[in-house]
Amino acid sequence: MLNLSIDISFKRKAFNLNAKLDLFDIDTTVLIGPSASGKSTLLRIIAGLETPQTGRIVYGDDIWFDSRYKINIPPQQRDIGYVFQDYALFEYMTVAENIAYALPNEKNENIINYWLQKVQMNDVAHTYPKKLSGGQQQRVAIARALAQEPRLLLMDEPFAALDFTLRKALQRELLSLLKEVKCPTLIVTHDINEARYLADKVAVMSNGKLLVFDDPKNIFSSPGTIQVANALGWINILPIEKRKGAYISGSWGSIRFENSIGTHVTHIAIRPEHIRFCKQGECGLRAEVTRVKDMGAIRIVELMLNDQYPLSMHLPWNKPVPITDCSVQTLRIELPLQHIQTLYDENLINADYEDSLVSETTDMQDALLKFN
Amino acid sequence: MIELSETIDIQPILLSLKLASITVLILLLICLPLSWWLAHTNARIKVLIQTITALPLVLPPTVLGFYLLLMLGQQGPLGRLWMNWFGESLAFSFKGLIVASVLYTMPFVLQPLQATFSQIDMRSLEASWCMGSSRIKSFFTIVLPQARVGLITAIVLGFAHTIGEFGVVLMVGGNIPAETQVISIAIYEQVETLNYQSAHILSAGLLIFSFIVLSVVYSSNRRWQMVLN
Repeated sequence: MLNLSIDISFKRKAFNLNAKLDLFDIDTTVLIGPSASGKSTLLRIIAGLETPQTGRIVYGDDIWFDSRYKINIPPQQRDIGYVFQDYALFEYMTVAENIAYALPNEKNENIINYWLQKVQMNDVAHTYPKKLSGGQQQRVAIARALAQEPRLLLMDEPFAALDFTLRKALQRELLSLLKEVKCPTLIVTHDINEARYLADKVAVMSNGKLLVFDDPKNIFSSPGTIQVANALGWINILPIEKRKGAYISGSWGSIRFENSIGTHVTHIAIRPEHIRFCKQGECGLRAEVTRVKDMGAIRIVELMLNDQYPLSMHLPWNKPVPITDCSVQTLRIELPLQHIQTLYDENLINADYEDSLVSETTDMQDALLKFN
Repeated sequence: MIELSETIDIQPILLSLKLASITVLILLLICLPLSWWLAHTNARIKVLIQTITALPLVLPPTVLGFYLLLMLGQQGPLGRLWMNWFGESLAFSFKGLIVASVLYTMPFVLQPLQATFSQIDMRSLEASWCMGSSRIKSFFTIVLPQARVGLITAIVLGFAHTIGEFGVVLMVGGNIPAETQVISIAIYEQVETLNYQSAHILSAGLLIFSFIVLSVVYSSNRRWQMVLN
């Protein structure tokens, strides 16, 4: 049960990162967020490769950084394994020498062989990295990082440079390795599918701020806020422009819920597989079919509501697209209520929370005045 | 061979080799940290340091020799300090030659090192730190092997340039046998005294020596690159 607590402020030239996140019981946590949200910089800060201007980083019982007490433990003493996106192998050392370098006793052949075998690299033990393929290089990098038995493994977009098939294979291997070594791991990625596959827990970050830290199942099925939905790449998001009780509407159309929804709800979202076509005679949202793409197992139907709001719909491959009028290609769709996600605006919630703190303080001051 | 050593004084050859070895050694001690710093800093003073250390590339050796002579002479700041501490003169001595050679040869060692250090893969260095290796250990085990070609180029250029220098040596060291008469001065003297045979032997010897050193270095670099790729 190792917790990582970060509250830092980092500035370099025009780049600013203010990160505040507490990750409890890390397991395999995937840190996900839009590009340039500061994920990689944060990982480098955790490793001690970058120094924030102010703040504090605590891992377990160890304070790694505290600007107030001028504590900054160097990367050498943080006991971390770091897997870089471009592998960062030592090109003047063979595969075996690369792994040996990470060990306290570089001559321990048994451990070197153990790791070579673990990542299936025995055959190329005496080869130099430049002669290996990208996948092989990444295997060596992972073995090298794990061989030092780190207290925390950090991986920065580890599979970003690999092709789809290889990425899948390496993700599978990484999962079984991590299960075996039981090393708390923090993986940075922008690939949603990779996050879903690898993560025990997912931390969603945007602009240096932790939006949510939870089980992947919860996060991916109900993002909760518009910020998380955007960070996770949700596509079918519609803004709420007007509301009246259980009735919401926008220039895309209108929907009536069973009960009234909260005032903080600013958007609704729905997964592509949950949108369905209306049967004849049923009323629904008027949508224009802009494109139909056959993707093998599914068919993607791209729709447009009111010339402005694109929606994407996934249909099983054998289900026909019921276009009634070929020249116009418009039809009616239904967003089933049970599948609609209501999304809050995090900024509105925070603003209200701060307001409530202010009013509480005022109430207390009033009470004290009366008491006096 | 016996006949050769009778007709030729090998003292200048030995003196040149000694001077070049000591100069390169001192330059490595100065230039390894300095070039690493220059390759990775954005400090304003970098431009000033780069300019000063590159001056020997563009100045005529006589200009440099003249000012060095003024500095190292008994009335010069460095010469007087040396005289007070050690009771001997720096100008027209072997030690003075070393000081002059170090300054004159510095850009030939500093610049190849700086160029190679600026291309070092910093990620691999950071990976080494994360594996618990100190900065010093990482420098020797990760950086220097990557900088191998640049390092060897710096050593060879520094060595060859010291062996071949003439103007500065003549101005600062003069022509004192067994003290400051290095090979280039000896060749000059043989030519001046019309002793062409000795001049030939010394010159050809220097030529062959330089050729062998350079070809060994370049072929070993090539072989090394082939092993890695």
